[in-house]
Amino acid sequence: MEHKILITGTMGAGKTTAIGQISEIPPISTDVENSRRDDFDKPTTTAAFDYGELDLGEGEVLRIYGTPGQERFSFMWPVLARGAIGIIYLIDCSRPEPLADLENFIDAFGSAADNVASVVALNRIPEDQPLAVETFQALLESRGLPWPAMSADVRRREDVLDVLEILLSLGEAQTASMEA
Amino acid sequence: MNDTSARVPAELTGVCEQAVAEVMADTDGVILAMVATVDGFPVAACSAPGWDVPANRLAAMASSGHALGDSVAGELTKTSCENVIIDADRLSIVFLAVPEFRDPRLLLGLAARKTTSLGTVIYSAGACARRIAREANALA
Repeated sequence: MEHKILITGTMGAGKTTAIGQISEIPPISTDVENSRRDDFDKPTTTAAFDYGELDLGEGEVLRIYGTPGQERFSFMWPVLARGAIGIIYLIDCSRPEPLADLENFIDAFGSAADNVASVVALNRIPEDQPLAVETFQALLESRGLPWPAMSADVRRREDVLDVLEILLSLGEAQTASMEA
Repeated sequence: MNDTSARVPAELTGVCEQAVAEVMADTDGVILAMVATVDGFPVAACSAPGWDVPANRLAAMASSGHALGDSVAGELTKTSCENVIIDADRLSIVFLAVPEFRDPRLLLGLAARKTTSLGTVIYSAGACARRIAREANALA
């Protein structure tokens, strides 16, 4: 059985890195040259999606899609969300307004994320923001979203797997409650 | 132009604007000609009367479509993608890379009614892309 999940977040949040850490196939990339290095000093940017796979054992395979991060590619987001059982909102906490970044993505996915298990993963938490997880959790609660927020250094495979484990647990619980 | 447009020299924008205007005028049935950066910022766009074309969105879609074509071509043949063809109900749409110009890499998009043959659309798009490359390189 195959399951599809999505990793979304701003340009440079670490989506491609996260998929590269856990994929058991060479990740498929649609990176193109970034023509605005003065805005964001990154040589390439994802134009369509990233893709990787992870064998969960017992015949179950996880298909992992990473969205383009830039708003002009937002037409891809609902396309990629179709059939997903889970969404990881990956937030770069070193950006100026990471809470607003999360809200933008929540709003952009809108109904496409209804009934989809979701986790907020916080990457690059600055040392002077030790309460980042609590702050994000408070935001989610204020919006009535029962999603967990957790820190994750996506350069570490174990961290990405921890996020996935939580997401899949939530997905299973959600599926069970919908079937009940 | 607002911040969603490409940041390219005015001379290059001028070359692209003239090229898309002329390919539209010279090719029957073309309803859209557009140049965008490979990462989806519009540089120049020209559309037929009655076609309200959102250049920003189409530039991003051209970028995604061509990047996906590149990915498929690379997976199967370890080569890059020359053009992406979309065969829609009423239109033939071609996205192709402007050859031999890299600062920045550019894509050309051409959409034409089905009354114009696909071969004509591809030929016109290729000629227009080569013209842009020639004139853009001459600016350097």
